[in-house]
Amino acid sequence: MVKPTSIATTLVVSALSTLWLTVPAQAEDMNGVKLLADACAVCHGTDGQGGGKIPKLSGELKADKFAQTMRGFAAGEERATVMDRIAKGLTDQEITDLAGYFANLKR
Amino acid sequence: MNRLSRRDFIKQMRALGALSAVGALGFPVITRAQSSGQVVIIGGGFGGATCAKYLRRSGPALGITLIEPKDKYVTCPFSNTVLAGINKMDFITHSYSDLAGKYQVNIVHDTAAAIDTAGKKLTTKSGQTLNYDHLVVSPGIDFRWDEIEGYDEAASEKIPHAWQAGPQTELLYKQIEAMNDGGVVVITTPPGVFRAPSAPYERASMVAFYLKEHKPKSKVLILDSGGTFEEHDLFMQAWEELFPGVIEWVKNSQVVKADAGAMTVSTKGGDTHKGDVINIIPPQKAGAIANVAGLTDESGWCPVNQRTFESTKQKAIYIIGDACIAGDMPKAGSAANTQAKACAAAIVSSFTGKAMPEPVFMSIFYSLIGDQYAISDARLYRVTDGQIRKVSGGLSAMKAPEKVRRKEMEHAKGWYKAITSDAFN
Repeated sequence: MVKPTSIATTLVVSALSTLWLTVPAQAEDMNGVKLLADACAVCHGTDGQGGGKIPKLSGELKADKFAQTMRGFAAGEERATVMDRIAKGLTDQEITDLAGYFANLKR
Repeated sequence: MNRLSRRDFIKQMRALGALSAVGALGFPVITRAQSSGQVVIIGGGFGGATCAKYLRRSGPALGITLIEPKDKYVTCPFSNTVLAGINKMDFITHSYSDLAGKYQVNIVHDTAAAIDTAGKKLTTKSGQTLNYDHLVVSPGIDFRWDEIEGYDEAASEKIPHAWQAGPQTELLYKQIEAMNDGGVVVITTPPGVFRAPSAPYERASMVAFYLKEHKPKSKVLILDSGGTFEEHDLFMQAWEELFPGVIEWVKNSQVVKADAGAMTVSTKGGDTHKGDVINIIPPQKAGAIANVAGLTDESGWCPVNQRTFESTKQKAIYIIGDACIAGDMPKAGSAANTQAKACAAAIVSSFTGKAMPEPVFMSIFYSLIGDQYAISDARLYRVTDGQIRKVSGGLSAMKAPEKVRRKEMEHAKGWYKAITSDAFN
Protein backbone atom coordinates (compact mmCIF):
# COMPACT_ATOMS: atom_id res chain seq x y z
CA MET A 1 0.00 0.00 0.00
CA VAL A 2 1.14 3.52 -0.71
CA LYS A 3 1.35 5.44 2.52
CA PRO A 4 0.47 9.14 2.71
CA THR A 5 3.39 11.52 2.83
CA SER A 6 3.29 14.46 5.18
CA ILE A 7 4.43 17.88 4.10
CA ALA A 8 7.12 17.72 6.79
CA THR A 9 8.51 14.54 5.25
CA THR A 10 8.54 16.06 1.81
CA LEU A 11 10.40 19.09 3.13
CA VAL A 12 12.95 16.98 4.94
CA VAL A 13 13.51 14.86 1.88
CA SER A 14 13.79 17.89 -0.39
CA ALA A 15 16.28 19.51 1.96
CA LEU A 16 18.42 16.42 1.79
CA SER A 17 18.52 16.44 -1.97
CA THR A 18 21.97 14.91 -2.21
CA LEU A 19 20.88 12.12 0.08
CA TRP A 20 17.68 11.76 -1.91
CA LEU A 21 19.62 10.86 -5.00
CA THR A 22 21.38 8.04 -3.24
CA VAL A 23 18.21 6.30 -2.06
CA PRO A 24 16.36 4.93 -5.05
CA ALA A 25 13.28 3.70 -3.24
CA GLN A 26 12.19 3.40 0.32
CA ALA A 27 11.50 -0.18 1.16
CA GLU A 28 10.47 -1.92 4.32
CA ASP A 29 12.80 -4.46 5.87
CA MET A 30 12.36 -7.79 4.21
CA ASN A 31 13.26 -10.42 6.75
CA GLY A 32 13.22 -14.17 6.59
CA VAL A 33 10.07 -14.76 8.61
CA LYS A 34 8.08 -12.33 6.46
CA LEU A 35 9.16 -14.00 3.23
CA LEU A 36 8.31 -17.38 4.72
CA ALA A 37 4.95 -16.14 6.05
CA ASP A 38 4.17 -14.71 2.61
CA ALA A 39 4.56 -18.22 1.16
CA CYS A 40 1.80 -19.40 3.55
CA ALA A 41 -0.56 -16.96 1.76
CA VAL A 42 -0.88 -19.44 -1.13
CA CYS A 43 -3.49 -21.25 0.98
CA HIS A 44 -4.09 -19.01 3.98
CA GLY A 45 -4.54 -15.75 2.07
CA THR A 46 -2.57 -12.50 2.11
CA ASP A 47 -1.31 -11.83 5.66
CA GLY A 48 -2.99 -15.07 6.76
CA GLN A 49 -6.47 -13.61 6.33
CA GLY A 50 -7.82 -17.04 5.42
CA GLY A 51 -9.33 -18.72 2.37
CA GLY A 52 -12.77 -20.28 2.70
CA LYS A 53 -12.53 -23.22 5.07
CA ILE A 54 -8.74 -23.04 5.32
CA PRO A 55 -7.92 -21.59 8.76
CA LYS A 56 -7.18 -17.92 9.15
CA LEU A 57 -3.75 -17.27 10.71
CA SER A 58 -3.59 -13.55 11.42
CA GLY A 59 -4.11 -12.86 15.13
CA GLU A 60 -6.10 -16.10 15.51
CA LEU A 61 -3.92 -18.06 17.91
CA LYS A 62 -1.57 -17.11 20.73
CA ALA A 63 2.01 -17.79 19.67
CA ASP A 64 2.49 -20.79 21.93
CA LYS A 65 -0.73 -22.45 20.74
CA PHE A 66 0.23 -21.86 17.10
CA ALA A 67 3.71 -23.34 17.68
CA GLN A 68 2.31 -26.32 19.56
CA THR A 69 -0.16 -27.11 16.77
CA MET A 70 2.52 -26.81 14.10
CA ARG A 71 4.93 -29.03 16.03
CA GLY A 72 2.10 -31.54 16.33
CA PHE A 73 1.66 -31.48 12.53
CA ALA A 74 5.40 -31.86 12.01
CA ALA A 75 5.55 -34.84 14.36
CA GLY A 76 2.49 -36.44 12.74
CA GLU A 77 0.56 -36.27 16.01
CA GLU A 78 -2.01 -33.71 14.89
CA ARG A 79 -4.37 -34.68 12.09
CA ALA A 80 -4.28 -32.55 8.96
CA THR A 81 -5.07 -32.84 5.27
CA VAL A 82 -2.07 -30.91 3.92
CA MET A 83 -0.39 -29.05 6.78
CA ASP A 84 1.43 -32.08 8.18
CA ARG A 85 3.23 -32.54 4.84
CA ILE A 86 4.41 -28.91 4.83
CA ALA A 87 5.16 -28.58 8.58
CA LYS A 88 7.68 -31.45 8.36
CA GLY A 89 9.85 -29.22 6.16
CA LEU A 90 10.02 -26.32 8.62
CA THR A 91 12.72 -25.91 11.25
CA ASP A 92 11.81 -25.50 14.90
CA GLN A 93 13.06 -21.90 14.80
CA GLU A 94 10.89 -21.15 11.77
CA ILE A 95 7.83 -22.48 13.61
CA THR A 96 8.62 -20.20 16.58
CA ASP A 97 9.14 -17.21 14.27
CA LEU A 98 5.93 -17.86 12.30
CA ALA A 99 3.97 -18.25 15.55
CA GLY A 100 5.14 -14.85 16.76
CA TYR A 101 4.64 -13.24 13.37
CA PHE A 102 1.04 -14.34 12.86
CA ALA A 103 0.05 -13.80 16.52
CA ASN A 104 1.05 -10.15 16.11
CA LEU A 105 -0.91 -9.53 12.91
CA LYS A 106 -4.31 -7.85 13.08
CA ARG A 107 -7.25 -10.25 12.98
CA MET B 1 25.90 4.18 -7.45
CA ASN B 2 26.38 3.96 -3.72
CA ARG B 3 23.06 2.81 -2.30
CA LEU B 4 22.20 3.43 1.30
CA SER B 5 20.39 0.91 3.39
CA ARG B 6 17.39 2.08 5.37
CA ARG B 7 19.36 1.89 8.62
CA ASP B 8 22.23 3.97 7.18
CA PHE B 9 19.75 6.49 5.87
CA ILE B 10 18.12 6.83 9.28
CA LYS B 11 21.58 7.18 10.85
CA GLN B 12 22.48 9.99 8.47
CA MET B 13 19.19 11.74 9.04
CA ARG B 14 19.64 11.47 12.76
CA ALA B 15 23.09 13.04 12.42
CA LEU B 16 21.46 15.89 10.55
CA GLY B 17 18.84 16.24 13.26
CA ALA B 18 16.18 15.56 10.74
CA LEU B 19 14.56 12.47 12.15
CA SER B 20 12.37 14.29 14.66
CA ALA B 21 10.78 16.21 11.82
CA VAL B 22 9.63 12.94 10.31
CA GLY B 23 7.59 12.31 13.42
CA ALA B 24 5.04 9.58 13.76
CA LEU B 25 5.43 8.46 10.19
CA GLY B 26 8.80 6.99 11.00
CA PHE B 27 10.85 6.52 7.90
CA PRO B 28 9.83 8.94 5.17
CA VAL B 29 8.10 7.46 2.21
CA ILE B 30 9.61 8.70 -0.98
CA THR B 31 6.73 9.02 -3.33
CA ARG B 32 8.53 10.27 -6.40
CA ALA B 33 9.69 7.25 -8.32
CA GLN B 34 13.18 7.74 -9.61
CA SER B 35 14.62 6.38 -12.79
CA SER B 36 16.41 3.70 -10.80
CA GLY B 37 13.14 2.38 -9.38
CA GLN B 38 11.26 1.22 -12.45
CA VAL B 39 10.12 -2.38 -12.56
CA VAL B 40 8.29 -3.69 -15.61
CA ILE B 41 6.49 -7.04 -15.45
CA ILE B 42 5.48 -8.99 -18.54
CA GLY B 43 2.44 -11.22 -17.97
CA GLY B 44 -0.45 -10.87 -15.53
CA GLY B 45 -0.98 -14.45 -14.42
CA PHE B 46 -0.25 -15.91 -10.98
CA GLY B 47 3.46 -15.08 -11.30
CA GLY B 48 3.25 -11.54 -12.68
CA ALA B 49 0.21 -10.33 -10.72
CA THR B 50 1.53 -11.68 -7.40
CA CYS B 51 4.96 -10.16 -8.08
CA ALA B 52 3.40 -6.73 -8.79
CA LYS B 53 1.40 -6.79 -5.56
CA TYR B 54 4.28 -7.95 -3.36
CA LEU B 55 6.70 -5.45 -4.94
CA ARG B 56 4.27 -2.72 -3.98
CA ARG B 57 3.89 -4.08 -0.44
CA SER B 58 7.66 -3.89 0.10
CA GLY B 59 8.54 -1.00 -2.18
CA PRO B 60 6.01 1.82 -1.85
CA ALA B 61 8.01 4.19 -4.07
CA LEU B 62 8.74 1.84 -6.94
CA GLY B 63 7.31 2.49 -10.36
CA ILE B 64 5.57 -0.78 -11.30
CA THR B 65 4.16 -1.51 -14.75
CA LEU B 66 2.38 -4.72 -15.71
CA ILE B 67 2.00 -5.61 -19.38
CA GLU B 68 -0.83 -8.03 -20.12
CA PRO B 69 -2.79 -8.32 -23.36
CA LYS B 70 -6.03 -9.58 -21.79
CA ASP B 71 -8.48 -7.22 -20.05
CA LYS B 72 -9.28 -9.91 -17.51
CA TYR B 73 -7.42 -13.00 -16.42
CA VAL B 74 -8.98 -16.45 -16.66
CA THR B 75 -7.28 -19.01 -14.40
CA CYS B 76 -6.31 -22.52 -15.42
CA PRO B 77 -6.89 -23.73 -11.84
CA PHE B 78 -10.59 -24.59 -11.49
CA SER B 79 -11.12 -24.27 -15.27
CA ASN B 80 -11.90 -27.99 -15.28
CA THR B 81 -14.86 -27.30 -12.98
CA VAL B 82 -16.34 -25.31 -15.88
CA LEU B 83 -16.09 -28.46 -18.04
CA ALA B 84 -17.86 -30.36 -15.24
CA GLY B 85 -20.72 -27.87 -15.30
CA ILE B 86 -19.98 -27.00 -11.65
CA ASN B 87 -18.85 -23.40 -12.24
CA LYS B 88 -19.37 -20.81 -14.98
CA MET B 89 -16.59 -18.82 -16.67
CA ASP B 90 -17.08 -15.79 -14.42
CA PHE B 91 -16.00 -17.88 -11.42
CA ILE B 92 -12.50 -18.28 -12.92
CA THR B 93 -12.26 -14.72 -14.33
CA HIS B 94 -10.38 -12.03 -12.41
CA SER B 95 -10.05 -8.28 -12.88
CA TYR B 96 -6.91 -6.14 -12.66
CA SER B 97 -8.79 -3.26 -11.01
CA ASP B 98 -7.38 -3.84 -7.50
CA LEU B 99 -3.82 -4.05 -8.81
CA ALA B 100 -4.37 -0.75 -10.62
CA GLY B 101 -6.25 1.01 -7.81
CA LYS B 102 -5.30 -0.43 -4.45
CA TYR B 103 -1.70 -1.24 -5.42
CA GLN B 104 -1.00 1.56 -7.90
CA VAL B 105 0.29 -0.75 -10.61
CA ASN B 106 0.33 0.77 -14.07
CA ILE B 107 -1.56 -1.82 -16.15
CA VAL B 108 -0.75 -1.72 -19.86
CA HIS B 109 -3.00 -3.91 -21.99
CA ASP B 110 -0.55 -4.73 -24.74
CA THR B 111 1.86 -7.50 -25.77
CA ALA B 112 5.61 -7.32 -25.19
CA ALA B 113 7.21 -7.71 -28.62
CA ALA B 114 10.94 -7.15 -28.12
CA ILE B 115 13.44 -6.51 -25.33
CA ASP B 116 16.54 -4.35 -25.78
CA THR B 117 18.68 -5.83 -23.01
CA ALA B 118 21.58 -3.39 -23.48
CA GLY B 119 19.32 -0.33 -23.47
CA LYS B 120 17.08 -1.78 -20.73
CA LYS B 121 13.86 -1.11 -22.57
CA LEU B 122 11.13 -3.08 -24.21
CA THR B 123 8.83 -2.45 -27.12
CA THR B 124 5.22 -3.53 -27.29
CA LYS B 125 3.20 -4.76 -30.24
CA SER B 126 1.43 -1.40 -30.50
CA GLY B 127 4.80 0.39 -30.61
CA GLN B 128 5.12 1.71 -27.04
CA THR B 129 8.59 1.80 -25.48
CA LEU B 130 9.03 1.18 -21.76
CA ASN B 131 12.27 1.69 -19.84
CA TYR B 132 13.09 -0.55 -16.92
CA ASP B 133 15.70 -1.06 -14.24
CA HIS B 134 14.46 -4.55 -13.52
CA LEU B 135 12.32 -6.60 -15.86
CA VAL B 136 10.22 -9.53 -14.65
CA VAL B 137 9.18 -11.97 -17.37
CA SER B 138 6.22 -14.16 -16.45
CA PRO B 139 4.74 -15.15 -19.81
CA GLY B 140 3.54 -18.64 -18.94
CA ILE B 141 3.63 -21.24 -21.68
CA ASP B 142 3.51 -21.33 -25.42
CA PHE B 143 2.77 -24.37 -27.59
CA ARG B 144 5.15 -26.22 -29.90
CA TRP B 145 2.76 -26.11 -32.84
CA ASP B 146 5.14 -27.91 -35.19
CA GLU B 147 5.27 -31.15 -33.22
CA ILE B 148 1.90 -32.73 -34.02
CA GLU B 149 1.25 -33.12 -37.73
CA GLY B 150 -2.06 -31.50 -38.67
CA TYR B 151 -2.42 -29.67 -35.38
CA ASP B 152 -1.91 -25.91 -35.46
CA GLU B 153 -3.64 -22.84 -34.07
CA ALA B 154 -6.38 -23.07 -36.72
CA ALA B 155 -7.00 -26.74 -35.92
CA SER B 156 -7.36 -25.83 -32.23
CA GLU B 157 -10.66 -24.15 -33.12
CA LYS B 158 -11.98 -27.63 -33.95
CA ILE B 159 -9.84 -29.64 -31.54
CA PRO B 160 -9.32 -27.37 -28.53
CA HIS B 161 -6.28 -27.51 -26.26
CA ALA B 162 -7.95 -25.51 -23.45
CA TRP B 163 -4.52 -25.39 -21.76
CA GLN B 164 -4.62 -21.61 -21.59
CA ALA B 165 -7.95 -20.90 -19.96
CA GLY B 166 -10.42 -18.57 -21.67
CA PRO B 167 -12.30 -18.97 -24.97
CA GLN B 168 -10.69 -22.40 -25.42
CA THR B 169 -12.25 -23.57 -22.13
CA GLU B 170 -15.67 -22.40 -23.27
CA LEU B 171 -15.21 -24.05 -26.66
CA LEU B 172 -14.35 -27.42 -25.12
CA TYR B 173 -17.31 -27.18 -22.73
CA LYS B 174 -19.71 -26.37 -25.59
CA GLN B 175 -18.43 -29.33 -27.61
CA ILE B 176 -18.93 -31.73 -24.70
CA GLU B 177 -22.37 -30.24 -24.03
CA ALA B 178 -23.36 -30.71 -27.69
CA MET B 179 -22.02 -34.27 -27.93
CA ASN B 180 -24.51 -37.14 -28.33
CA ASP B 181 -24.87 -39.53 -25.42
CA GLY B 182 -22.66 -42.52 -26.11
CA GLY B 183 -19.87 -40.38 -27.52
CA VAL B 184 -16.15 -40.55 -26.71
CA VAL B 185 -14.13 -37.61 -25.40
CA VAL B 186 -10.43 -38.13 -26.20
CA ILE B 187 -7.83 -36.31 -24.09
CA THR B 188 -4.16 -36.51 -25.11
CA THR B 189 -1.15 -35.61 -22.95
CA PRO B 190 2.13 -34.18 -24.28
CA PRO B 191 5.65 -35.55 -23.87
CA GLY B 192 8.20 -33.55 -21.88
CA VAL B 193 7.68 -30.93 -19.22
CA PHE B 194 4.30 -29.21 -19.26
CA ARG B 195 2.06 -26.92 -17.21
CA ALA B 196 0.14 -28.54 -14.36
CA PRO B 197 1.33 -32.17 -14.65
CA SER B 198 -1.69 -33.80 -12.94
CA ALA B 199 -4.29 -31.55 -14.57
CA PRO B 200 -4.96 -33.87 -17.58
CA TYR B 201 -6.25 -36.47 -15.11
CA GLU B 202 -8.25 -33.88 -13.21
CA ARG B 203 -9.74 -32.87 -16.56
CA ALA B 204 -10.66 -36.46 -17.39
CA SER B 205 -12.33 -36.69 -13.96
CA MET B 206 -14.29 -33.46 -14.33
CA VAL B 207 -15.46 -34.46 -17.83
CA ALA B 208 -16.50 -37.88 -16.47
CA PHE B 209 -18.40 -36.10 -13.69
CA TYR B 210 -20.33 -34.12 -16.30
CA LEU B 211 -20.97 -37.17 -18.48
CA LYS B 212 -22.20 -39.29 -15.57
CA GLU B 213 -24.88 -36.72 -14.88
CA HIS B 214 -25.83 -35.68 -18.43
CA LYS B 215 -24.66 -38.34 -20.91
CA PRO B 216 -24.22 -41.58 -18.94
CA LYS B 217 -23.45 -43.80 -21.95
CA SER B 218 -20.41 -41.70 -22.92
CA LYS B 219 -16.74 -42.41 -22.24
CA VAL B 220 -13.41 -40.63 -21.74
CA LEU B 221 -10.27 -41.98 -23.40
CA ILE B 222 -6.89 -40.67 -22.22
CA LEU B 223 -4.00 -41.17 -24.64
CA ASP B 224 -0.99 -40.64 -22.40
CA SER B 225 2.47 -39.88 -23.73
CA GLY B 226 4.04 -41.39 -20.67
CA GLY B 227 4.09 -44.77 -18.96
CA THR B 228 2.76 -43.54 -15.65
CA PHE B 229 2.19 -40.33 -13.68
CA GLU B 230 2.73 -39.12 -10.14
CA GLU B 231 -0.82 -39.60 -8.78
CA HIS B 232 -1.58 -42.68 -10.90
CA ASP B 233 -2.70 -44.91 -8.02
CA LEU B 234 -4.83 -42.22 -6.37
CA PHE B 235 -6.64 -41.43 -9.62
CA MET B 236 -7.21 -45.09 -10.53
CA GLN B 237 -8.68 -45.73 -7.10
CA ALA B 238 -10.94 -42.67 -7.29
CA TRP B 239 -12.11 -43.42 -10.85
CA GLU B 240 -13.01 -46.99 -9.84
CA GLU B 241 -15.03 -45.58 -6.96
CA LEU B 242 -16.74 -42.64 -8.69
CA PHE B 243 -16.95 -43.49 -12.41
CA PRO B 244 -16.37 -47.23 -12.89
CA GLY B 245 -15.78 -48.09 -16.55
CA VAL B 246 -16.07 -44.50 -17.77
CA ILE B 247 -12.42 -43.43 -18.05
CA GLU B 248 -9.98 -45.52 -20.07
CA TRP B 249 -6.32 -44.65 -19.59
CA VAL B 250 -3.91 -45.84 -22.30
CA LYS B 251 -0.22 -45.39 -21.54
CA ASN B 252 2.70 -44.91 -23.97
CA SER B 253 0.39 -43.41 -26.58
CA GLN B 254 2.01 -40.17 -27.65
CA VAL B 255 -0.09 -38.46 -30.31
CA VAL B 256 1.94 -37.38 -33.35
CA LYS B 257 -0.80 -36.68 -35.89
CA ALA B 258 -4.27 -35.14 -35.84
CA ASP B 259 -7.00 -34.86 -38.45
CA ALA B 260 -9.51 -32.17 -37.52
CA GLY B 261 -11.75 -33.10 -40.48
CA ALA B 262 -12.00 -36.81 -39.72
CA MET B 263 -11.78 -36.14 -35.95
CA THR B 264 -9.00 -38.65 -35.43
CA VAL B 265 -5.62 -38.71 -33.73
CA SER B 266 -2.76 -41.11 -34.42
CA THR B 267 -0.10 -42.26 -32.00
CA LYS B 268 3.62 -42.82 -32.45
CA GLY B 269 2.90 -46.56 -32.31
CA GLY B 270 0.58 -46.24 -35.32
CA ASP B 271 -2.83 -46.56 -33.66
CA THR B 272 -5.59 -44.22 -34.81
CA HIS B 273 -8.43 -43.22 -32.49
CA LYS B 274 -11.66 -41.45 -33.37
CA GLY B 275 -13.24 -39.03 -30.94
CA ASP B 276 -16.57 -37.22 -30.86
CA VAL B 277 -14.76 -34.52 -28.94
CA ILE B 278 -10.95 -34.33 -28.95
CA ASN B 279 -8.82 -32.32 -26.54
CA ILE B 280 -5.14 -32.23 -27.49
CA ILE B 281 -2.84 -30.90 -24.79
CA PRO B 282 0.09 -29.89 -27.01
CA PRO B 283 3.83 -30.05 -26.23
CA GLN B 284 4.97 -26.85 -24.53
CA LYS B 285 7.77 -24.33 -24.10
CA ALA B 286 8.24 -20.95 -22.38
CA GLY B 287 5.99 -18.08 -23.53
CA ALA B 288 7.04 -16.48 -26.84
CA ILE B 289 8.73 -13.33 -25.48
CA ALA B 290 11.24 -15.45 -23.53
CA ASN B 291 12.42 -16.96 -26.78
CA VAL B 292 12.50 -13.65 -28.64
CA ALA B 293 14.68 -12.13 -25.92
CA GLY B 294 17.15 -15.02 -25.80
CA LEU B 295 16.21 -16.10 -22.30
CA THR B 296 15.62 -19.77 -23.10
CA ASP B 297 18.09 -22.64 -23.37
CA GLU B 298 17.94 -25.69 -25.63
CA SER B 299 15.10 -27.13 -23.51
CA GLY B 300 12.83 -24.24 -24.50
CA TRP B 301 12.58 -23.02 -20.88
CA CYS B 302 14.51 -20.30 -19.03
CA PRO B 303 17.46 -21.05 -16.75
CA VAL B 304 17.48 -18.76 -13.67
CA ASN B 305 19.31 -18.14 -10.43
CA GLN B 306 17.34 -20.34 -8.04
CA ARG B 307 17.13 -17.72 -5.27
CA THR B 308 16.48 -14.50 -7.15
CA PHE B 309 15.07 -15.81 -10.46
CA GLU B 310 17.41 -13.54 -12.36
CA SER B 311 18.16 -14.98 -15.78
CA THR B 312 21.52 -16.71 -16.04
CA LYS B 313 21.68 -15.31 -19.59
CA GLN B 314 20.71 -11.65 -19.12
CA LYS B 315 21.32 -9.29 -16.19
CA ALA B 316 18.39 -7.43 -14.57
CA ILE B 317 15.83 -9.76 -16.20
CA TYR B 318 13.98 -12.21 -13.96
CA ILE B 319 11.84 -15.11 -15.13
CA ILE B 320 9.18 -16.60 -12.85
CA GLY B 321 6.33 -19.09 -13.18
CA ASP B 322 5.87 -21.77 -15.82
CA ALA B 323 8.52 -20.25 -18.14
CA CYS B 324 11.46 -20.73 -15.76
CA ILE B 325 13.43 -23.82 -14.78
CA ALA B 326 12.93 -24.07 -11.02
CA GLY B 327 14.59 -27.29 -9.88
CA ASP B 328 12.12 -29.78 -8.46
CA MET B 329 9.13 -27.43 -8.64
CA PRO B 330 6.25 -28.26 -10.98
CA LYS B 331 4.79 -25.68 -13.35
CA ALA B 332 1.78 -24.59 -11.30
CA GLY B 333 0.07 -21.46 -9.98
CA SER B 334 1.21 -21.99 -6.39
CA ALA B 335 4.81 -22.48 -7.53
CA ALA B 336 4.60 -19.22 -9.51
CA ASN B 337 3.11 -17.50 -6.43
CA THR B 338 6.02 -18.33 -4.11
CA GLN B 339 8.60 -17.70 -6.85
CA ALA B 340 7.05 -14.25 -7.43
CA LYS B 341 7.53 -13.36 -3.77
CA ALA B 342 11.18 -14.45 -3.73
CA CYS B 343 11.76 -12.48 -6.93
CA ALA B 344 10.07 -9.38 -5.48
CA ALA B 345 12.27 -9.71 -2.36
CA ALA B 346 15.38 -9.99 -4.55
CA ILE B 347 14.47 -6.85 -6.51
CA VAL B 348 13.67 -4.87 -3.35
CA SER B 349 16.95 -6.07 -1.81
CA SER B 350 18.85 -4.78 -4.80
CA PHE B 351 17.42 -1.31 -4.08
CA THR B 352 18.03 -1.35 -0.33
CA GLY B 353 21.45 -2.97 -0.63
CA LYS B 354 20.52 -5.50 2.05
CA ALA B 355 20.95 -9.21 1.60
CA MET B 356 17.84 -11.04 0.48
CA PRO B 357 16.44 -13.54 3.01
CA GLU B 358 16.77 -17.22 2.17
CA PRO B 359 13.63 -18.18 0.25
CA VAL B 360 11.30 -21.09 1.02
CA PHE B 361 9.03 -22.24 -1.80
CA MET B 362 5.84 -24.25 -1.88
CA SER B 363 3.68 -25.98 -4.44
CA ILE B 364 0.15 -26.87 -3.40
CA PHE B 365 -1.69 -28.63 -6.16
CA TYR B 366 -5.23 -29.89 -5.71
CA SER B 367 -6.80 -32.30 -8.17
CA LEU B 368 -10.59 -32.26 -8.21
CA ILE B 369 -12.06 -35.65 -9.00
CA GLY B 370 -15.73 -35.37 -8.00
CA ASP B 371 -17.74 -32.51 -6.52
CA GLN B 372 -17.04 -33.97 -3.05
CA TYR B 373 -13.70 -35.59 -3.78
CA ALA B 374 -10.25 -34.04 -4.10
CA ILE B 375 -6.65 -35.11 -3.60
CA SER B 376 -3.55 -32.97 -3.27
CA ASP B 377 0.17 -32.77 -3.82
CA ALA B 378 1.76 -30.38 -1.30
CA ARG B 379 5.50 -29.76 -1.14
CA LEU B 380 7.99 -27.43 0.48
CA TYR B 381 11.31 -26.57 -1.19
CA ARG B 382 14.59 -24.87 -0.36
CA VAL B 383 17.72 -24.05 -2.34
CA THR B 384 20.37 -26.72 -1.81
CA ASP B 385 23.67 -26.58 -3.72
CA GLY B 386 22.25 -23.93 -6.01
CA GLN B 387 19.14 -25.93 -6.95
CA ILE B 388 15.56 -25.78 -5.68
CA ARG B 389 15.03 -29.13 -4.00
CA LYS B 390 12.04 -30.71 -2.29
CA VAL B 391 12.41 -30.80 1.49
CA SER B 392 9.08 -32.28 2.52
CA GLY B 393 5.63 -33.16 1.28
CA GLY B 394 3.99 -35.32 -1.32
CA LEU B 395 0.64 -36.80 -2.15
CA SER B 396 -2.57 -37.44 -0.20
CA ALA B 397 -2.68 -40.86 1.44
CA MET B 398 -3.99 -43.79 -0.61
CA LYS B 399 -6.01 -45.03 2.35
CA ALA B 400 -8.27 -42.28 3.56
CA PRO B 401 -11.93 -42.16 4.57
CA GLU B 402 -14.47 -40.39 2.38
CA LYS B 403 -14.61 -37.43 4.76
CA VAL B 404 -10.91 -36.68 4.14
CA ARG B 405 -11.51 -36.49 0.36
CA ARG B 406 -14.51 -34.24 1.11
CA LYS B 407 -12.41 -32.04 3.36
CA GLU B 408 -9.70 -31.78 0.70
CA MET B 409 -12.41 -30.56 -1.69
CA GLU B 410 -13.39 -27.84 0.79
CA HIS B 411 -9.74 -26.92 1.17
CA ALA B 412 -9.28 -26.85 -2.60
CA LYS B 413 -12.04 -24.23 -2.79
CA GLY B 414 -10.38 -22.27 0.03
CA TRP B 415 -7.03 -22.53 -1.73
CA TYR B 416 -8.56 -21.11 -4.92
CA LYS B 417 -10.02 -18.19 -3.01
CA ALA B 418 -6.71 -17.54 -1.21
CA ILE B 419 -4.36 -17.81 -4.20
CA THR B 420 -6.51 -15.72 -6.54
CA SER B 421 -7.03 -12.98 -3.95
CA ASP B 422 -3.31 -13.11 -3.08
CA ALA B 423 -2.61 -12.30 -6.74
CA PHE B 424 -5.45 -10.00 -7.79
CA ASN B 425 -7.01 -8.34 -4.70
